[in-house]
Amino acid sequence: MSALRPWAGVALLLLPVLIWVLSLAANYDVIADVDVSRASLAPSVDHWLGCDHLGRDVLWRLITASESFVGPSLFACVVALVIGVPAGALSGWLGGLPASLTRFGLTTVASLPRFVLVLLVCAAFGNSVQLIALAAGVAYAPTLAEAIYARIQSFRHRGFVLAGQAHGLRSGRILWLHLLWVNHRRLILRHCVQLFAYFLLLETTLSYIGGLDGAGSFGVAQPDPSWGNMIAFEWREPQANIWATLAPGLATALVLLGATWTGRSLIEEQA
Amino acid sequence: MFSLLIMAPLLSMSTAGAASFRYAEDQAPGIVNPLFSTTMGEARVNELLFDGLYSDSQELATVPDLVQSDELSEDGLTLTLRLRSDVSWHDGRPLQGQDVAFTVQAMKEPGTLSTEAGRVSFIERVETQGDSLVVLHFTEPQVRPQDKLTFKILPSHAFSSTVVTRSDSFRTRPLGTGPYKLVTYNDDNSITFQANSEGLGGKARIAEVVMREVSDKSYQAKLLLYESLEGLVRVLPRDLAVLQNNRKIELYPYQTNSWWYVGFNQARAPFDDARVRQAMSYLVDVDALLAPVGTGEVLSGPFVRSSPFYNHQVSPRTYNDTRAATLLEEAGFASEGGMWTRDGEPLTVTLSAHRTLESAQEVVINLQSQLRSGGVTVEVEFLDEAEWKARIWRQQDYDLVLSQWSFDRNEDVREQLHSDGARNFGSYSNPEVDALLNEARATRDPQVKKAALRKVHALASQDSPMIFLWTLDSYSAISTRVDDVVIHPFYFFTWVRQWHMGS
Amino acid sequence: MTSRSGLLRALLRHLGSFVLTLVGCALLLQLLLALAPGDAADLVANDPVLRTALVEQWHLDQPVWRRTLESLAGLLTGQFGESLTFRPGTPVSELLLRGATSSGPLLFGALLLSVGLGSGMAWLKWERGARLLSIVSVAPVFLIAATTTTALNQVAFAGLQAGWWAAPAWFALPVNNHPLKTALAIAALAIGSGAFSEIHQASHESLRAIRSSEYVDAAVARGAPLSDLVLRNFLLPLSAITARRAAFFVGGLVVIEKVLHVQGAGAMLWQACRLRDWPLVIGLSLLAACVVAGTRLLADMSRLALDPRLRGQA
Repeated sequence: MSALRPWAGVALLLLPVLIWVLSLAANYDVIADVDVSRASLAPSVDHWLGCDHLGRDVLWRLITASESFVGPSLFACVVALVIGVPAGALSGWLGGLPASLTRFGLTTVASLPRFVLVLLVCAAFGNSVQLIALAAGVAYAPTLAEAIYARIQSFRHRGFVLAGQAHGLRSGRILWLHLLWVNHRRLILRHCVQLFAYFLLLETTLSYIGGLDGAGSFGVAQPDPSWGNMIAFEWREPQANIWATLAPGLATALVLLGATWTGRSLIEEQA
Repeated sequence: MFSLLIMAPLLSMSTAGAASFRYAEDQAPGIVNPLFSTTMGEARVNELLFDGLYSDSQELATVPDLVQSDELSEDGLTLTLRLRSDVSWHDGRPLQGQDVAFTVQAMKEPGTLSTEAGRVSFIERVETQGDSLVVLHFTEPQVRPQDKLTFKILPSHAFSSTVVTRSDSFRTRPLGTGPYKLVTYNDDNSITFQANSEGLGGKARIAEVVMREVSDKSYQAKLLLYESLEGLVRVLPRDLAVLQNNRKIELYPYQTNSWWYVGFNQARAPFDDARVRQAMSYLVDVDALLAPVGTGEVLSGPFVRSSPFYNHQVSPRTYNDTRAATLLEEAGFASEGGMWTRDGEPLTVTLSAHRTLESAQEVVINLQSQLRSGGVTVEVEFLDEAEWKARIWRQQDYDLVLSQWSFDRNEDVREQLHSDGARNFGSYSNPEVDALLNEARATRDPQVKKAALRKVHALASQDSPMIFLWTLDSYSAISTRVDDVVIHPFYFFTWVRQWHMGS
Repeated sequence: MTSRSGLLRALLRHLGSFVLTLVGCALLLQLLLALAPGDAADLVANDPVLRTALVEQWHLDQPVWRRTLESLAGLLTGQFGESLTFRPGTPVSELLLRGATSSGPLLFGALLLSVGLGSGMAWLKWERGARLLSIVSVAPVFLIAATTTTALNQVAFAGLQAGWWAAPAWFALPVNNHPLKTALAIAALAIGSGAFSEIHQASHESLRAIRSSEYVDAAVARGAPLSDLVLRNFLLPLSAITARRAAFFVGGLVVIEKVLHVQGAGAMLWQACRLRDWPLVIGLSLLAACVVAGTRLLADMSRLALDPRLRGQA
């Protein structure tokens, strides 16, 4: 069972990426699907998961919702990598004052809980998924940087590094190729998977609570679907189709489970 | 007498559980001080704690409240008021003329930064003669100043100066003449009020009122069903059916004189062209738009149907895509691939809606879909209160807005439709309408006013500065344990003194 | 250099870094919010005259650098200002105290429960229970809280209608303040969004590393008591794990308080953000940063106390 788990994890994790590709290729029109005569229809042959209270097909909205987090989470990963990897690697390699200053900056950002930082950025600069992704990437960068810093520091004085330097290899080459690429890519991948899962969690939570409060105060706003705002939209309907709330919740939980299993398998192989 | 005074609080405490009216607000009052109120929730709390010089009768006519008698001078510049002598503040001190003078002065004082300053701009100064005589001097002749004197009166002895700041300790222990006094602010953001034994017209019959903050609107109706609340100020249309079927809950309809609309920014092309505006209103199926929101009446003009100013000869526009097509073609648009374009540019509009307007999401999504099938691309944005005021009111940076206007019983649409109206952010201008609005304001003859405003209705319907949508049936829901309930459409608690809880 | 002076120097260094971190946070927050377009005056004022006056009183028309420096100076002298739109006129410090007393028990309860459960199950090697709980733990906090609340309410109401029981004191969740609601909040926060599974996993790994290490083997060979040794060595990584999770729980507070209608610092922060009440937002965010940095400081200090080797590194 546990041997299958990493593969199940990767499968569950790739699922949203696959449905994201599917949703980009498909013609589903989020706007045109409104049909009040189909309100809260139960699952049927035409609508496998039924319809929500504005008559929109739940399954298609479930699929299209992947656009709200797959693309943006990749953007968040890029932001975290661009900030975190150089910051961690250079401070681990160089040490001294630059390292202290960089780490101080990162610690300061890390002292603010990630959710709070994202909330503040949205409150100050308006609400959009790209902004949330940017804020999430910036908020996650210190974690990534710390992990890389700790390991680079311990690798700094290892035999093979000294040997490389004695052979006249440039420091940059040693750092980026030998250390980061060869020894740390699994670590970086694991953090990317964690950030992906975190972003899904963040976006779903923000869209849910934002959806309860009023249209799109935080998170993804209607009519664009998000697993979080789908739940919030239907939660209060007295005659709701239960799949309209159950399906997004299950989908979220499954993808997060996949991310956890994948992340764990990356650690185990490393050890 | 003394022993009764001691017993009263003990009695009310022991029966508090049974005789407690609990109601819900979306947001707890930020500050309990009528000088700084901004939300309807705060206005409702003020209704419990304070009284005004005048108030509304159950027929919504202005009647004296703290005033015993009044006399308006011939020239309409002076109003002499005699205050009631049997009214005292929650701390027992009697109401006096200087309290009225203080209240008006505090509202006008620039240092107070009161949100209510505009309400007393028509009063030049207040003079007191003795304890109970107050003379108001106006800046210009007034016809019925009593209608404007419904603001709440504050005790002068509770403040150290007429410049009142928001941090003044009055907010922690407010003092009024109203039927209830504030007992505690609780940890869970709820507020407990107890009946004031010194109140006007005797003690209120319900011993205790509790305001609870329930920010999730979906829960408010559930709590009423679960009997954790006795009253709901405004029932969401989606909950109506469920509450209606429950025998322990009674629904009270009320008329709010408020109607929804989609406004055009007429300072921006192509909405400066009346044909485009009319065409877009022909592309909207208002009945289908209303269906998921609730029940109500579709309108053809800027008044509610029951209003004397509503022109019943003007019928609401119904969906007519042929007519819309003709109008758009006349305006220079051509249909390419199902979308309307002009000079190679497809017709794309941004629809801005208030984030907190209930059911706005459903209307916006539906409207977007309808206009899309009519060949117009609509982008949607939701704005919060601050953004709304900045972008829509001040900068007029929008294409279409979905919103709602609410009026008091005067239904004065001048601010919205007159070319120099303060709320006419759509830049609507029609000299004929201006003339009719001026006529309606100046005349003292109700028939002339009615005729003028009905003509305004007809003209507005034709010009289409906005797509007039509907007025929603509004309901409050109250547990059947509460008897003799009459609700004020705006302030809810105006006649709370007569409500009582059955056993 | 004696171990004692080394300890003192290390302590002072950590304290200094704590204070500096908070100052850095304050600067970051001030700058962030000063750059934000839109302001609180619009929320309050309907007419232009009042709006202009409010903007002036609240210093919203000053340039960014000036506002940042002014409020930073105010913070350093302990003046947090007044709430502008959330509770107009109430001092921010009063609101912070109120928020802290409501949210404190929730936060520390959740932290204790999560760490206790996670490390306890790893210690006792209770695999099956841990696996089950890990699967539940994957679900987001809001989902766990919302589902449990609805389920409890429906069951209670059904019984009420059928006449099986009278309305329980906690009914209907989540409006009434009741120990059950607090317990539910603590449980959801402690377990949801991967909190439990992360802590369990980290504890499991450190314990495995400790149990397979050479000094433990040596102890086994000597016949010395094991659990004491393992425990002492486990406390170090445990404090590090706890400190790492603190930020996560503080962030999760906002979510759980919104979903379960707890009137604490988290719900206050959300509302203040919506109402653009920047003085209150800054105060609450600094409180959050204080808790996170404070937990880190405590963890560092406990490591210094537990591991003599670290003291010489002053």
